[in-house]
Amino acid sequence: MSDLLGISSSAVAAYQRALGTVSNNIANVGTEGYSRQTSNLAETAPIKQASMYLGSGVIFDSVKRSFDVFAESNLRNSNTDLATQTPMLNYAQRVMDIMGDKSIGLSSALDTFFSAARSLSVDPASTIMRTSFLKSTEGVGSRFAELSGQLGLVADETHQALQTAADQVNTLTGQLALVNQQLVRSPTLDGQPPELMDKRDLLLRQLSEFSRIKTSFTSNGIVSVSLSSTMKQSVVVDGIKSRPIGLDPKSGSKFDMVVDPYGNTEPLSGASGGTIGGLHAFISQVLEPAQKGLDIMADNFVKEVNGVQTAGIDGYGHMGSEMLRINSTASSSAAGIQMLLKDPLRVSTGGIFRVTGSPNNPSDVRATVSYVPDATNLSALSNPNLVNNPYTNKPLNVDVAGARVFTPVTQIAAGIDSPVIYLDKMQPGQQLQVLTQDGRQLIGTSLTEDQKYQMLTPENGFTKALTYSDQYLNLSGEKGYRGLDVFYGAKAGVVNEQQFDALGQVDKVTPVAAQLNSQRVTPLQVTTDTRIIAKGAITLNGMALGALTLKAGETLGPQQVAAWLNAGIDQNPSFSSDKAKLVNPISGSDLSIELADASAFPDEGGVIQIGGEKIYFSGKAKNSLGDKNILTGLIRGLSFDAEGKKVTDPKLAVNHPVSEAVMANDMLHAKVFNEIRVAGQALDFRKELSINGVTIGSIPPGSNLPAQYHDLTSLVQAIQAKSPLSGVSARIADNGDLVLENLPGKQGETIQIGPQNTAGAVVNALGLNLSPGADKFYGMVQLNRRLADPAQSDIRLSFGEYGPVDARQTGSPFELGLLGFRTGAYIEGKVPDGLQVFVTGQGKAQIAASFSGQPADPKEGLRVQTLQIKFTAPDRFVILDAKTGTELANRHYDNTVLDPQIEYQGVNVKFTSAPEVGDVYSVDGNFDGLGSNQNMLSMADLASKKIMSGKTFSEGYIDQVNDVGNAAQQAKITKQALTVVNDQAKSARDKVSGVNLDDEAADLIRFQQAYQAAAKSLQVSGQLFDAIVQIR
Amino acid sequence: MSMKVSTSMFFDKASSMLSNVQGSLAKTQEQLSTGKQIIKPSDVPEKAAVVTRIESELARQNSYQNSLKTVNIRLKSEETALGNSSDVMYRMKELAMQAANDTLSTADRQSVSLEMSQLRDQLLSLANSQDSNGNYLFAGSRVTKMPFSPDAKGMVNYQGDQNRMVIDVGDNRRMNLNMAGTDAFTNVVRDNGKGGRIGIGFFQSLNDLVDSVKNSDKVSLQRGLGEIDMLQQGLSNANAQVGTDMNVIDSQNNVLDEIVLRLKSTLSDVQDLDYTEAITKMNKDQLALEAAQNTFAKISKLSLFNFIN
Repeated sequence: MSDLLGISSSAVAAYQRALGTVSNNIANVGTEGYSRQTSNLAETAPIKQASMYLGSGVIFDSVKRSFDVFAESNLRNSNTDLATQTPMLNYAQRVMDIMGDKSIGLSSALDTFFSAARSLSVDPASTIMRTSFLKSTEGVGSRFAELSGQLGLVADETHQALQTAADQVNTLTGQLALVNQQLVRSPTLDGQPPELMDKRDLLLRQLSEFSRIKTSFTSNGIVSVSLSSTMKQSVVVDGIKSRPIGLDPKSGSKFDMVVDPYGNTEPLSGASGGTIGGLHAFISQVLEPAQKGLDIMADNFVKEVNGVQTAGIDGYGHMGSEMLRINSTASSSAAGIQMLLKDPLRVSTGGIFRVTGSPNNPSDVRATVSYVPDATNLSALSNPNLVNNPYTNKPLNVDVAGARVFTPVTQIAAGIDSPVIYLDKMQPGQQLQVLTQDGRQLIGTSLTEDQKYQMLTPENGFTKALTYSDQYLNLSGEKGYRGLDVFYGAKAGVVNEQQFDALGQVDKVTPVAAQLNSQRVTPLQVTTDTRIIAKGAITLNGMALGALTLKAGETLGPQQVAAWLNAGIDQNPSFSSDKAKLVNPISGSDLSIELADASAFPDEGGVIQIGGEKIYFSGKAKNSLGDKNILTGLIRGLSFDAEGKKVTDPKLAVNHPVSEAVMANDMLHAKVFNEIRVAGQALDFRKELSINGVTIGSIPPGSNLPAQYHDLTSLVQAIQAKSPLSGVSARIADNGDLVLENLPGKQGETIQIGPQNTAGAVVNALGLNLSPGADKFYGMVQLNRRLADPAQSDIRLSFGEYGPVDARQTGSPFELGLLGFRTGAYIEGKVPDGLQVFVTGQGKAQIAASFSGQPADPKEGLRVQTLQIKFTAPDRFVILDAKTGTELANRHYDNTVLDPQIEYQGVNVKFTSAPEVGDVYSVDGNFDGLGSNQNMLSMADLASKKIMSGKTFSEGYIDQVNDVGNAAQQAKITKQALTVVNDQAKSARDKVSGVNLDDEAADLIRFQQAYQAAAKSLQVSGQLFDAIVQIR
Repeated sequence: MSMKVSTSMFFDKASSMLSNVQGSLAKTQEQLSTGKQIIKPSDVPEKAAVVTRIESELARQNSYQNSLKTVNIRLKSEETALGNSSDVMYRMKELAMQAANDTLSTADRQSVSLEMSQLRDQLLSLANSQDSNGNYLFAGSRVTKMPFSPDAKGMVNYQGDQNRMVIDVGDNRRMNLNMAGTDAFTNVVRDNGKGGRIGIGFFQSLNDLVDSVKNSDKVSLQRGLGEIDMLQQGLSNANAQVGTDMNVIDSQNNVLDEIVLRLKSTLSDVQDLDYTEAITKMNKDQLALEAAQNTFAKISKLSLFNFIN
């Protein structure tokens, strides 16, 4: 209807609504998130009359929300950036204020510590200074703990802040989901209530302060939010659903965050920026490095202080013990420094060595001493291929070849207990040589000039300018090197066996007599008369043994070796006793005699001596009481020729009354034996066996198992059944081993085992590796010594000198080896100095070693001995061990070099000028140098030592403070810049969506005037109507 | 296009600007009241490190100064003991020369020897001087052991050691801390009668001299006269050493004073407040605050609504 009334009334209605919109804007001027609304008026459709269109009025079309998507998202991003800097700035400043503070920071505590160290170095004997040093050390420890605690508090706070931020994020995302739910009702964006859209945008803006967010909108305005850069992960609002975030309850770190911590957990990866990102940046860039740096400092501080403390001498003259420790149960190193010392006298201020000139020195030359530990060799044996195993199964192979007359074997560290180095499978002329680093030879044979020249070099571990000496060679006790007991040859000692009583308690120790077993003696047949061993070449317990000679066609076997040994023993009264008594007098022709007690005499014969006559017996028989006291097979009138062989002279056989004493070689005796020991688990009962050609077990045709045995017992029975034929019996040892032995009367004979390996595979039931030629097990020699005096009842086979005076020769390990005995270099007790071991002589050989104990701390060893440096010539000095008088070194002194000094195992002695002949200087362990300050100087020097990766403690710490400060400073500057950006973003949004009251006032007037005008039109239309009605 | 400013933004900005100026004023006020440029390390992180570094340096120099004080006390005690010893030795030599005079009777020599032996005892007690803590001055590092104590036979053997210690008195400077007894009361060298030479202790030599006077042993007396010169020489060398060390203390003290002064002035530059600058800044901030308040009061009154009635 295109009439005045209609038009006016539509205008009145439209402007009324427009005014409403304006007043809504005014009303919401202070509402956060409100977007200004504008009214949209539109013409109504015109009415066509005849050929023209007439306007029909105005319609209030819509209320439009002033809104700019770009400005909004820009503001969100800017919010995120700004919020990122806030925690970084605030917390970094906190850390800065903690670490940089004078009273909490470390710097002042370190200053106090080093000042105390310096003060103590000026007055080391003062207990007050010592106490104040201890207190200041403790002060550093507690300062570390305090700092660590403060940083821990900051960590707790950031943890709390993250928790709070997560809670707030969860609230916001929950609300967003609710908003989304309401937005579902309208299918189009235009249809959405502006108030809801405002709310949505406000929530997003608030959310953006906590983390950078990624948004995605549907066409009707529903928003999904992700905390990562894609919509694929870390989605926290998905349409009408929201997912909470939180700290990971399962993570070891207190800062790891996850989506949905108690449900379908997903790591909050890719989240950055905002309060949460800022907190994480602070933690990873400032807090954790600061804590880690502090812990490293604490570790280093403890290590360095202990290092100096343990390198010095305390007020009691002892080596310093560790002063600090990090409690292993503490949360971090910095929090756990503990003081171990309480006694101020245990602070080690002094140097560990002291040099004193003798009061009678002709010169007044002064000496100073310092110690530089020589840390080159801390393992027991320097050669890693030489293992602690006395057996021959894992040897070290050595080869002396070419122009070199020696091969280094190993170095034995000081402190090792009772080392033995064995030489096996050696060539004629090969020797073991054991020397100190200063060229004192302890074991071996005197070195030749060639050997000295080649061996005694620094490359072989010897000191420079040394002099060789063999004055202690193979000598023990007072004449030996530092009183050591050394031995070169084959040796067995008394073994002390620990006994236990019925209750299993440790009882007395029982000595077990010495027993020296040879290895299997490989038969050696000679085609001409041959002297195997020269007279005097081999000694038994210091006694020279006779010659061992074989006639053409004879074979050297265990029997020959034992007989030769016994012949030597028989000549020596030191192995005899006179305990035995005759039962009846002896007449000149008796072929047997009865003794009161012959139990100690060997069953297989020996020599006794009655009066002046030597009588050989070859066996023993039982008397009427059943005791084996009758000696049979007598050879009377015995004597020995120059080669040590038995000769008899019937004229020497005379009568003896009962009163005459009987002496016999019952104290030491050699016998032959043979045995094969096989461990129970090595046996294989499915395989065949033959002994000495006699079949013990065979697999019958059609079977694959031997018929004779199936277990250990049946195997033993099978061997025993054939023992009359094979001459070999079997038994089971205490430890379960199977032991094969010769039958009585056949002792020492070779045992042959079969069948031999087929195609390299072991096929015998004993599991022995019987390659062709290796199926014979030769007999062995056993020396037994009775236990008369446990301290002197060992057996020692060694080397003696023989030959004409002008061409003396010495027995060699090779000769001992022919007899089946192993040569070893033995040292009893702890090795006081490091030793060098070599093999000399051309050819290949094998080395084995055994030892116990651990390498000793060299400085402890040096401290307990007093060294005397004595100048014997202007250019020569000796170093003596003050306790034993042993000459440890004899060296050239070169006074022409720039800084002459004497170095002995790390102890360095310097002189103010050249000492005179007769000057003596003692180096001792400074056991009463309470007033000595060398070590405290080293402690004070820690202040300038570059310990913290090229920086001193103080510099390291200050750098850390600086790093934190830089982080704070950078955050500050960035925040200032971002604030400007944020202000612009806010203005940009405000320009579009903000409410300006002046604008609204203008609109108000505008719409009011339009409303008034429309109302006037309405009035006019009324008047017009009245005018028409009045026409009658 | 002109910038539209929403009403709430206008108020927000105005209030934040006011609080900024107020914060700046408060800061200046705090600086003025403490006299420090740096209130908290975080105020100026880059300078805080410098301050800590200089303070640490100052602490170190301070500890060197303390060390010097302690050594000085020690050296003064040594100087006294050695000076007195020198005096006693002069008298000793005088008496020995008097005794060497042929005109003196045996009885006269015996009375001279009596005085000489008293002087020797005096020297002994000087050589056993102790510091205020009861530690012996001339015992090396065996400070609790009397260095020159006579044994049952009256023989005096040196019981101290020859530890010659040094201490740090500057970043690159070390000086002697002690004087070993045998460095002051030195040995003399005699023929051992077998063509060789042997060292004889200070007090042994004096004992021999006193005995020779007592016994009128001319040969030994002549030898003793020669030796006493050597002993005196040793003492004066030691005296000279102490004097040198004391000079070192003086010069090192000067060096340290200078270093400390330099460090302190650097520290002051960094952390102390420049009052003129601070007050000027405060006035400026004050002015800015007043201006901001005034304009805000005026502008905020302006509104179109005032004209709608």
